[in-house]
Amino acid sequence: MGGVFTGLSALSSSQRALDIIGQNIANANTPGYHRQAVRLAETVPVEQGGFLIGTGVKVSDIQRLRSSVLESAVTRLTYESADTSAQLTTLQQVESLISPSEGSVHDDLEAFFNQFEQLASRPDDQPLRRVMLGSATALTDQLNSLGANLDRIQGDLDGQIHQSVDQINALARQIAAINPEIQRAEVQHIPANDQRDQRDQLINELAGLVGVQTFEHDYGVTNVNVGGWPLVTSDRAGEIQASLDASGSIVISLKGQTQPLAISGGKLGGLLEARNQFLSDVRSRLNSLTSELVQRVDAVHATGLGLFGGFDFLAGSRAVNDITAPLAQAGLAFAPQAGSLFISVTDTATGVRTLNEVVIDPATQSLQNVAASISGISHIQALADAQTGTLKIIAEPGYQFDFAGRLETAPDPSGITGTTVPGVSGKYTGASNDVFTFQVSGTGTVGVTPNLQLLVTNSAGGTVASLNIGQGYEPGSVLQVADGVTVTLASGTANVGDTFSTRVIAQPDTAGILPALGLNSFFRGDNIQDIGVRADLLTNPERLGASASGQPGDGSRLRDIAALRDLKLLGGGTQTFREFHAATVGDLGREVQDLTSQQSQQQLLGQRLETERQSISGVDPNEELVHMLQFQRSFQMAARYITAVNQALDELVHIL
Amino acid sequence: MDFRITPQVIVSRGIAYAQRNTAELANLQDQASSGKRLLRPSDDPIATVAVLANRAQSLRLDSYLSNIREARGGLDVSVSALQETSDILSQARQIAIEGSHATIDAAAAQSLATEVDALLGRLINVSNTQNTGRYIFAGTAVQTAPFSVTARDNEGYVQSVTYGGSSERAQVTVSLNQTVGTFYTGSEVFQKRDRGATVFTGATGAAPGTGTDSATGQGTLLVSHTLTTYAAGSGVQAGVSSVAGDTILGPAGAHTLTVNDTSGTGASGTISLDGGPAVAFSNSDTDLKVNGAAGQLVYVDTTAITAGFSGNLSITADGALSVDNGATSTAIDFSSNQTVTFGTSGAVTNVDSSNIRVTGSEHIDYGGSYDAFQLLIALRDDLRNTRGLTDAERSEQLSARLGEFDRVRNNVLQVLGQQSATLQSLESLEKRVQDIQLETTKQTSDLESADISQVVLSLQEHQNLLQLTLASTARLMSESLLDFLK
Repeated sequence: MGGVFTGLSALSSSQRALDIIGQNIANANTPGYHRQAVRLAETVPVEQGGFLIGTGVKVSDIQRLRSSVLESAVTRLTYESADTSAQLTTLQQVESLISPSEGSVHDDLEAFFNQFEQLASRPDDQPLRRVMLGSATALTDQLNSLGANLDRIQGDLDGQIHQSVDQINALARQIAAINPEIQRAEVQHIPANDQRDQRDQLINELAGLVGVQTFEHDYGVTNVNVGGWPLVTSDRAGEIQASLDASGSIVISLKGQTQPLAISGGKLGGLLEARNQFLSDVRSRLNSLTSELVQRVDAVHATGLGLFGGFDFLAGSRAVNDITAPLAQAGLAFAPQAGSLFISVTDTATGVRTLNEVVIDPATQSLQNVAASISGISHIQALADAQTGTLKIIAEPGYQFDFAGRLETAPDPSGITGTTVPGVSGKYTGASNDVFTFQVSGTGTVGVTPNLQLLVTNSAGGTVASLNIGQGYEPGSVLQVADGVTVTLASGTANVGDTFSTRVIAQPDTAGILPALGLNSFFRGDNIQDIGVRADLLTNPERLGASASGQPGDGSRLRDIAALRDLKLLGGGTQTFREFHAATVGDLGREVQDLTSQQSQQQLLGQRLETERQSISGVDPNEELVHMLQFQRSFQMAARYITAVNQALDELVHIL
Repeated sequence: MDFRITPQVIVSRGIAYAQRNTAELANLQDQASSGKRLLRPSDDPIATVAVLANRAQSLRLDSYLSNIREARGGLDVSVSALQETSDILSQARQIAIEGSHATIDAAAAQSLATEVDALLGRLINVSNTQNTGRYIFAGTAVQTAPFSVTARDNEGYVQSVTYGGSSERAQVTVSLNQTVGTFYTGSEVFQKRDRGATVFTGATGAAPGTGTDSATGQGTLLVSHTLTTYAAGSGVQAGVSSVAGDTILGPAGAHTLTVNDTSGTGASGTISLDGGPAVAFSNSDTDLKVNGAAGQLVYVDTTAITAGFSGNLSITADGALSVDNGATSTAIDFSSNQTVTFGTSGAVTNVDSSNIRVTGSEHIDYGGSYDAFQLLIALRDDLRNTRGLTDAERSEQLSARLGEFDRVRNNVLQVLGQQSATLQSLESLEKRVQDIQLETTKQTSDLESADISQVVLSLQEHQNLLQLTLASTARLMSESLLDFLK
């Protein structure tokens, strides 16, 4: 009597089916749950009366409805979008930091130059000087706070990276723990669907943290690779760690190994990208802006004169790390180059000013050598301070020095055999440093003798001017030579061949040694963290190096500084300070925009993939209800069948 | 397999669409409330960069505007100071014309002089005009009074005014690479010179030399006598008062003494100078005064006349030149150009001394060299007659100097013209900058501002969409097979 068993098989199959439906309905909203379906199959028929008759139904398999292609697409999307959103979060923070609102670095930078320009119109105005210094301080404060905020963001990222690493390690351990469970079941051909769901869910969580590759082996064992290295191998979980490399970037490696992993994707990938690439890029751009600004402004300011003229004492604000090492290897932020520094020394009692050249070769000269060269100039002493690594220059009492490169007050008269006395004055406006040599042609009396000439040549031997100093020249009156330089000859005699010369200086510091050592600088520091306005300028605004001539109404150095804003000094000579900063803001905006659109694309794709995944693996309660009704009926019918078979048997029993 | 749609899909879609619409609504709310389309650089990076450039431009234009106003303020003050200067010079010229009438008496001249002195005081004040605490005619030396009185005479009258400012104009940046000089140097306004011919007025025979002088204004050349020597043979010697009293000057041969020893022993006779009246002498005269025909004069010692000498003898009369009232003097060498130096200033005057024949003084007028102050000082002093001029001489000097007044005043007017032109160009520059400013603001607003009508429309649209999403999700969610199972 196979009928009972056939009915029994139908009963139990329906019951299994109802169990699974129950499981499906129960997990309809469980994340990562895959719909399961019962596969029914006929049992092996037996021969009865020469016929093969079926013996009922059996559950051949409980299938997890999933598409592995779709699942791996979901996994990939998970780590890609986690990567994007981790980057985007950081970028948006930075964006709001340097976003060009009022009072941002951009506006402060512009205001900084504007204030220089306005002050140049009334350079002796002390309150206006304070206003200008205030706007400079606003700029440096803004840069400092930007630096601090970038640090804070970096600190946040570091924390998140370490947290992600911990989470990754925990997940790896969990995956490694499930692997053997699945293996144990599936070796016995029992589908471990729920464990698989659980593991898939863990892998997806892991993918949210880091880009993973999975490799499925026999009996459901899945290995997980991270950055090309195995993290989970069967039941063994590796461990990763984060550490700083020499360049200050965070690198991820397997514990016990130094080889960095090529992490990409996931939150960790995004955080690493944001920290190591993006943040350091923004920081380095802001730093190069800052350091270029500091160097350029300082270079001009150093050659300026305050309201009280030259200096009695000056100490550098930027240090070398070894006063005996050649300057090129002394760790200076602004490396000097081979060139000259011109130092004027003024006798305050007589007003007589000399101009002295100090030749500087950073490849061979140390700070000590430079100090020695400067000390070679009469009436000033320079000292390389071994303790602080800075240069100090001191003038003898009654003398002052400066770097304005003004003309000497009196040319050396030793080449003049006549009785006339030459004088040169004016402000040299030429483009390069030069020497003007004046030579008398003809012999006679200044202002009297016809055809008495003064020939002026430059150091290249070219004629600069030929001036009449004979009849028709008013002795002692000013003659224009060239480029703002004027000459006078007092009444007296001049003989043929009488000569004198004067240095004309356009750039008093061709070596760039003044900004390098921070002598008479405008700023202190050289990067966004430590930039500031030189402290004693803030307390003594009259020391501001505003003029080239020492006159209170001369703002030419201020104008020179203001002019820096139109020079294309950054981006390989293609961008001004402002343009460079605007480009940084623009590039950042573009990146955020790119990432945002990438994110919304990923969201769309995610939605589509989810729809597709749901279409295969999702639980539809209505569908399950229909199946439930179906198997409910099937169960009822099987029961009825068994009853029928039973009644048939009863009939037989009654016969007995 | 068929494409199955599960309730989760409906739920998640509903959530996604609702979120997307809500996000868009939040964004639109931002735009509508702030009125700005660009709130973050990522809203439109390209427009952001353009807006930044515009904002920088706008800030800079503000700065230019402030500088233009600064420059205009300075120039306005300067122009009115120059107008006053021109008035002062006109008034002084008028007084010079009045003073040049030979008929006015000393008292009237003195009162005119007082008037001129007041004008001089005003001129010094004007030349030291300040604008907001800064001297406008000092060039870049804005904190120092440019013109200071460096000498006064015994009566306290100003004798000399010196420029102590710088030789560079102070500049103001008014536009990209454009600066204007606002604070002119006082020397170019009040002391511009255009040296012309030097004029000597006097009877000594001295004339301007060939060289170029450096002395300015007016001056006096003192031609004095130092030594008379007589050619050998006659026995005539210079008298006791000769050094101080002789008025003749000239190289050997320029003057002639005629001696006639009527006694034949040298005891007595007559003597005459340059064909002048004969004067009797005796051998006891040690200081005989002999006048020439033109009033020239020598003192001779006739105690040792050669017996029987009758005839002419050549005289050499040496002298000295001084332009600083004898403080320093130069020996006359009777050449075509001699340089005479003013001791304290070193200013030179070139003198043609070859025709100097008598002592005396020459009034020198260094043509084209007066500055505004010297002109008023000279006018005042001539009206006070400190040089001891005759009425005719004063009249001549003052008339001759009218040209100087015109030159100095023209120079002031020229500077005034330059500054007025600068003012005018600044005015139009200001207007242009304001126009550019306006245009920049407009451009910025075009780039930056939200299109409100569009924002409102989008807001409505997204609101509708959100409502539809919510309504459709709610409708679909409520459908279940359970509703139909009994």
